[in-house]
Amino acid sequence: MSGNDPLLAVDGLVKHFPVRGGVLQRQVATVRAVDGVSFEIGTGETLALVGESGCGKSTVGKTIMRFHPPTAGTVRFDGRDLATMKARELRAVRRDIQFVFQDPFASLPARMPVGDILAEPLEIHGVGDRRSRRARVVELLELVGLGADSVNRYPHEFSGGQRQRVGIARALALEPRLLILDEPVSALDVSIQAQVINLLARLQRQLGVAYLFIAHDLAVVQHLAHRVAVMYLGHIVEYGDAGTVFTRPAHPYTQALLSAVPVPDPRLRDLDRRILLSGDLPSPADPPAGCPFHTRCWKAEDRCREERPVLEIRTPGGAGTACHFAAEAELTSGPAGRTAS
Amino acid sequence: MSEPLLSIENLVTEFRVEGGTVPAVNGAGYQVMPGETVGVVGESGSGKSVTVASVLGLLPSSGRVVSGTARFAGRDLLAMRERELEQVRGRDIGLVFQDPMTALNPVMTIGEQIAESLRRHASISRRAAATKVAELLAEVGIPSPKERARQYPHQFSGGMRQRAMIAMAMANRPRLIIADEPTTALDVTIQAQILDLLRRVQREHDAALVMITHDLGVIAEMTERVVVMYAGRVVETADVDSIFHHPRHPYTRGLLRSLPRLGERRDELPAIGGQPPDPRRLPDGCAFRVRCDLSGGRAECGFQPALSEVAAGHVSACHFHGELAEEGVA
Repeated sequence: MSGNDPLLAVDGLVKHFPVRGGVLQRQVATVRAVDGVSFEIGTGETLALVGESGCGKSTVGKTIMRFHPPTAGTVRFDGRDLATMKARELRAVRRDIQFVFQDPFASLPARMPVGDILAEPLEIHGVGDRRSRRARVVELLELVGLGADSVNRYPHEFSGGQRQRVGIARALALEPRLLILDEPVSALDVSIQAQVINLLARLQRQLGVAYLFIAHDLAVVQHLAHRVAVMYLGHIVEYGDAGTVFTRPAHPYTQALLSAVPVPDPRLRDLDRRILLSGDLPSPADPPAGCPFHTRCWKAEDRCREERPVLEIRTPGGAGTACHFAAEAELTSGPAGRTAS
Repeated sequence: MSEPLLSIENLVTEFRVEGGTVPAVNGAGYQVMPGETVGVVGESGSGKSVTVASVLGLLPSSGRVVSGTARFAGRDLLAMRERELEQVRGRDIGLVFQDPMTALNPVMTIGEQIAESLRRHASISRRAAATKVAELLAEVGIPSPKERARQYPHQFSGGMRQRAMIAMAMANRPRLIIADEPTTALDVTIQAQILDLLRRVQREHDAALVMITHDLGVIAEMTERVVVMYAGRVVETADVDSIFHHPRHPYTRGLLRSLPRLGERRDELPAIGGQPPDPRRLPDGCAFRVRCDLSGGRAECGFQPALSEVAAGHVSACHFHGELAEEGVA
């Protein structure tokens, strides 16, 4: 295996869900949740998948974890295709890829003390003996900034931020190489979000673990991501390093998305910079032909209604935009007061 | 100087729980002038939503207003019977909540619900109400308003439901709109639409707006004056520029410093330590002192600081607000 191989390579990933109806429960429609998505994540790096609800970002994460099987496409971890892997191999890989959920309360077993919650993955994978597992649990608690005295406490005794720390500690128990984090801070209070963001950044520096960071909050994403993929209706519409995507977005959707984020400074209350999109997200069960964004795009022309623009990713880490009329815009001087018609 | 439209003073509200009561609001108060936009910001447990629920008679049955006053246009809200309050809520004060699904009746069409609200507060014919409903829906940007009026809430998207709720809140031309986390459940491009709409209807109706939110970005973009709440109390109030650029309470300053902001990336966010206050176990004295980087364990913080005026129209509840006078946030 060459040192340049990405840790995770997702290629042409498709996940469709059947919609059944009628007395015979026949398939009446297909929700095209993920419709051909490709990206790579290198060792110790963070790729953020961003987009609004229904864009398919969470489905990507769950499909990689094989919470449900992909409809098409490949997911390669460390150069090996997860789809063709034998059960034993897959089990080993599962140690390397762990998941952190949005709601730390719902994802932790309520009736188990935290010590047992953290020891459980070690037991399942037969790591160490009772004594070394106990030591590892204490080490994990310290790693995420919780005291060793947390061992005997139950999830309900912790605040939301502390529970998310427990969730992260559990995900780290088996020393994974990739964490898939699905909106890990969006349920937390503002003052606690910063703590958990700092924790995630520190853990990555310390452990060299890679993150697939799935989130809708762009300010949070910008803080942690090395690279960003912007999703819309099951497609990646823009991809590139975080600095470029956030300061000089080239896809109209990315521009609208970034311009819509309220700025916490009344002196920058400049409503003209906002690109107000009209209408709602189309249904992923009935996506528009051509470019998925054309129904809300102020740049759309006939070509966009007929021909889907292709996202070309040139080199790993290279930028790409799926738009016939892509043009970089400086965020601060973005299309002033433009409203999509 | 005109009289405040809404004035809340020394409000204390508690909830009954197993084995006792838990304080949710501990002497909070603020004022809203006619036509003014006031932001109320705070985290979970700050009491920002319970405060308005208390004065509008919308507390769950386990909640109880212990003391305090609340006046709307000179009338005592806390002395009103439920029927009077109902009149005030639908007619003089329009309400917009985070989740329209809980506020809208799922088995009534959108049009019927808005018409009902119109007819409850004014004697107009069925036909006139139907016309008015279509006008209102058009005003809040719902396409094909006549057809959409015949649909049920579940047939609306989240953004469209919030538009319908705003139409209902505006139906009787209220003098005050109270919006409690109105865009928290929405995606950011839809949030931008709804904030734009709220601004527009407020201006057109010349109504005051109380915007309750945890989102400092929304506060900065929407409001003129800001009330910061922590642990059931108001800890700071000022015009929006002073709050964001010259905060005089360490909690406000800490929140602003800890925010990740678009366009700037820092190695480490200066986070506020500790956890949000647990109302069952509030520390004695200043509730923020256990997380405060200004207190340094000084003895004064063991006593509850009073709200004191630190500049014209700017009050802070911190013994050491003077130490923040020369600093900005950035």
